[in-house]
Amino acid sequence: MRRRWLGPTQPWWGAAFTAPVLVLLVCFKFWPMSYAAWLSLTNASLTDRARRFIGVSNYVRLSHDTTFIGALETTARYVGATIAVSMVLGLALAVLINQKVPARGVFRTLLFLPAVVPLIVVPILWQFLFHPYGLVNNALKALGLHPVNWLLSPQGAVGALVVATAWRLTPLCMVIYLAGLQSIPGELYEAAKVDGAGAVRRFQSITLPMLKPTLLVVVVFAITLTVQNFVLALVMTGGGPDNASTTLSLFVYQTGFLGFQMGYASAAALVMLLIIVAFTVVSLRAFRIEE
Amino acid sequence: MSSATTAVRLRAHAATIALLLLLTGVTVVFLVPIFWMVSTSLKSNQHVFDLPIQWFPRRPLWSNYPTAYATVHFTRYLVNSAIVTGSVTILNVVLSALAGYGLAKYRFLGRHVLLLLILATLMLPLEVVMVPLYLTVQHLGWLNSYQGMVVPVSANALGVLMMRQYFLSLPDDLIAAAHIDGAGHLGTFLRIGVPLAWPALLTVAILIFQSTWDDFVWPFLVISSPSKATVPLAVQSFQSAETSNFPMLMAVSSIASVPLTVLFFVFQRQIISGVATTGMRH
Repeated sequence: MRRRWLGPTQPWWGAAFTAPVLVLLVCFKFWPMSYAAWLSLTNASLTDRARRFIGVSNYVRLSHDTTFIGALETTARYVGATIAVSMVLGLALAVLINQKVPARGVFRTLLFLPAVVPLIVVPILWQFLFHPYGLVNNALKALGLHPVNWLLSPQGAVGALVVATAWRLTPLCMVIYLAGLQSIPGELYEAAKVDGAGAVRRFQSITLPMLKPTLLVVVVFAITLTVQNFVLALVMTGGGPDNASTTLSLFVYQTGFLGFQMGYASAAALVMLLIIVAFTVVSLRAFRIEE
Repeated sequence: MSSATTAVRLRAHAATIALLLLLTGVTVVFLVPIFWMVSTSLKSNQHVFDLPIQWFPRRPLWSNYPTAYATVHFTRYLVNSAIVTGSVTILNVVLSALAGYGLAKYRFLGRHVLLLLILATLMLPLEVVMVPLYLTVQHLGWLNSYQGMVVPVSANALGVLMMRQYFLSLPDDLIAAAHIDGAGHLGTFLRIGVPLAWPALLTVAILIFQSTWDDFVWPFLVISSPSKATVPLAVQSFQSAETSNFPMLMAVSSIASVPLTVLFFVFQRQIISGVATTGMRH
């Protein structure tokens, strides 16, 4: 069934309206993308103008590079843990706020504030909180636990990054969930209540299934945001100690802009793109199947 | 009968109070870092790690703020940030409105492909293309310049998609009527499209403003001289110079947080619904 078209059909005007955006996206997204693909096959350097085609050597080198393999593992752990924490916590908060509580608007506003703090301030603030004598260790001591050398131990550094990222990401997830929750018709819950379903049962059989599309949006959003971001690692840990908290995007930055190896960095960037595309495609597939 | 209703009501009250306590607890935990930032910014460096913790410093050093503002030369960076963010926002809004209108209201060959291409750029975050993009900007001779910071981020798929969505909901009859009345294509867009779309334009403007003001990576790569630096760059360079002066660092961080916080409180509805509906930021 085709919808009736009443708008203008002049092809040139439609293309003209879209052209400026298209030109900019081609110049600053698609061209760099293809350029990266080419660079990844060369020995391009930031300091040397001469570049030579070296085939897949950069990719072969990546597969042997322990720093790169380590960065992949760190990314998996960092992204996995961050996503798990922010998705679960974000959902819990959204469900709580979605109840009939007084002043829920105030809670929503206050809980959103970590997402308002400038991105560059987040690692500076958390670096201080994770200081050996900082607030986090004070809290641990107050709870009778051992203080942790957060930023100077391999495990602690990744843990600290996870906490800082999740702190900033959870409110964003919460808000997306809230929109999803509010689109679930209230009659469903009323009917379930009449049928004697408890709160847990209602959550399992109504909230979760109805929230599936939202969950997928949150997954793609959170993964893309966490994979690409290297500001937190750069400022909080610098990737240390001994590369233990070097994520993929930080590896790209360090190799390209500090190591001047633009070709090699481009190869790593393409691997990063592959990961983002893979996750997006898988999630979109899941979407399609649902519909 | 009445005692049963009282019991039900009491139980409902108890549940509400438990929920409130839980929410308050979680909110406090989430806000402690921010409170700690402000509280530390009012202390002297010797008393930062004092125990027991002084949440409200006994003698708050308000003078830390003017000192921090002057040391960092905030005015200069605020002006730079305003120039860059203002230009990026205006360009984005204008170009997104045009493209969104073109994609929603015209039938032309390849518009589906075009839409897919624009959608695909959502999977191309800056961090993936930063190496070739840097080389491209270097080639254009735009390193360390305002246009280097502005032009590469002046078109954004999210803005286009939001505007397209909005224009799709605009009845075609309106546009057809304007055309019958003899208005040109651009005239119809300006006189019918834009005035009706201002809520969407405002949302796009706010989201772009927020993410551009907050952006650290791109200016960090492009800008090398302090005279062009934006606020996030200034904060970072202060941090690497003064790693252990915690009160000053926290004062600088607090000052840097003010613009986006004000923006949030003024446009809370747009920001939250923008994040919620697009599921994306940046």
